[in-house]
Amino acid sequence: MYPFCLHLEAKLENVREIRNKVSTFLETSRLSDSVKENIALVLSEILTNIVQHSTPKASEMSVKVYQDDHFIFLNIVDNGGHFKQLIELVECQKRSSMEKLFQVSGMGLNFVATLFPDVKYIEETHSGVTTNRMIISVEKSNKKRIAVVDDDISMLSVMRIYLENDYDIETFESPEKALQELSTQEFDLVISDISMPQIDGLMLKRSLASSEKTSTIPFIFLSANEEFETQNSAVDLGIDDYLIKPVRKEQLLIVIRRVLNRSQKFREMLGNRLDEKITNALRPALPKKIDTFRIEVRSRSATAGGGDFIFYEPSKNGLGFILGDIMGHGEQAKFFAHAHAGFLQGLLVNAVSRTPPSYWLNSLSVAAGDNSILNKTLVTCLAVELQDNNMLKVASAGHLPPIIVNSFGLYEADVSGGLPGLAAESNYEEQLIHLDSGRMMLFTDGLVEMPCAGSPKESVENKIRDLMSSGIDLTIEESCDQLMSYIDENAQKLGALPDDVTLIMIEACR
Amino acid sequence: MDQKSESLLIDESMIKQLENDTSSELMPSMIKIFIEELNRRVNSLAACIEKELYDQIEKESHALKSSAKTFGAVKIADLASEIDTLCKNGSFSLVSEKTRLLLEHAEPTVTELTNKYL
Repeated sequence: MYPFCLHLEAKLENVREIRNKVSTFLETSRLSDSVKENIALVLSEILTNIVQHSTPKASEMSVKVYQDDHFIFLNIVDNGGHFKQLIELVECQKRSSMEKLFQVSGMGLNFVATLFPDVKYIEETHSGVTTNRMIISVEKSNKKRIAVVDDDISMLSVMRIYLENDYDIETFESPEKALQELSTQEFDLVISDISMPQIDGLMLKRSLASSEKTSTIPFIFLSANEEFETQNSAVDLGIDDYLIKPVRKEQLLIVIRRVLNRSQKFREMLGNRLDEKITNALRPALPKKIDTFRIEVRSRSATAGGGDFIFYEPSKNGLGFILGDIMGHGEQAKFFAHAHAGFLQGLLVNAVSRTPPSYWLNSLSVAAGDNSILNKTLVTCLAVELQDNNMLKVASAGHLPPIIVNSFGLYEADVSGGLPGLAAESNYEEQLIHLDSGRMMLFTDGLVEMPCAGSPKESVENKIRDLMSSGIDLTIEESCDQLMSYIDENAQKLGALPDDVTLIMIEACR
Repeated sequence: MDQKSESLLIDESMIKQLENDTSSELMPSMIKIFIEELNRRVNSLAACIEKELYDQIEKESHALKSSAKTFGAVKIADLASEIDTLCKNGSFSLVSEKTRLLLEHAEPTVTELTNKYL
């Protein structure tokens, strides 16, 4: 906020003008509506007294508003006579002598000292000219400010009541109005519905992301939409969380605290840049043969950043690995992929005995909620343990399900689980998969969700699935190469690879 | 509607939960707002079903399923959820029937909310 300054002739008609201009100026400040109203009232009262009652009469008056980190200051100067009563009033207020306060009243100035007891009123003389200066300081709210956007007024009323004790809440029934206010005022978080007329939640997020001022405001979707496709589209926009309606107050408050905490820490770390060593350390790799399984891995690094990683620790965990994908893109995703891989390494290297996939994900989930580094982002993971007799044990934390292709066709493995760190207690389930025939494919969303050059988005996934099915007659090495050729060709047409792509194909040795 | 289906209109435990999360003093004003919103969407659904505006029906039912669930109006929430899914799947032949069923349940739902909580 820039300092406000207005210098006018001491006339009644100018009082209203100053009051209106100060009110407009304060609209963007982090003051509650009642404090803004009090400032406007006090301003009117002081200026009216200066115009009507100062002796000798004031000919000029000026108002300045400025701020530091904690306070907003209102500074009123006039060249009329000094109000001795006001000094007395201020002294009365400081002594809490309410009885005397009201006795001294008579000029309508008593409530100035009541509303703002720290008011200062001094007489100054510079170059032979005497002026009066009144300084009122108002402490800014330290509550975080949240914009809630939903076209359903009943949901807005519930949200306001849920949150107003802990946060400054602004509710918007119209996404257009929300966009307008978000671009001019300061907010710490946006919570938005998805399905809304004209501008839906996804468009709102895209608009905010496209503006420098609003691109970094943390964003939570609160939607009744439980479809994986919609959630995935939302997550790809770089959101901080996705909650399903109806939401309990307790759950909402936990998620808001976590997101605001993450955001603050994330900002502290934004200055960090990642070097090539981190990218190399994360380059996904697995042996071509683990026990009785043949494995092929293909990966491509995004043009900028990207957050895929494979964790494989042969010394303690020779028969298993984790495929991870950090949500969002860019250098930050790469950094957090490194942080997650580091956590998993520490977890498994220090394990006293072999542990199952669900244990890795449960541990990661606890850390993603509590750990000061891991809780700054979201990750999806597939944990795989290779067992005897062509069996695999798989657990998923919000990751795309593996695809199994055999002579009967192509189907998705029934493996699912929530994102790490979003629930207070995670209990990931493992799925046992027989791989006597055919092959299993694990991949990150970069493989199926890259834009298709010159075609609708969904055709990329269809094409990938077709290639997976038709590749059943090829070796897994040939099939992987065929799939990656298509990805490379598409990326070349697009001119960039927007996200990391990782593909793992596994089959049992026969 | 028979007695049994009427008894399933409102889940009182959900309203109790909402009251615990907010306050008993504020409940009547919140329920009033919900009733206004429910009436508005029901009127819109009634108009849309005549004109077979399935996109709009999907949007209204989608919004209604979450607000109705928040306010314990479980029958409306279930029907709205069914209509939302039918619209998304393109099963439009069943949408009319379910929407008319939802419209039938709206008034008794409002009556029950009004009698018990306002």
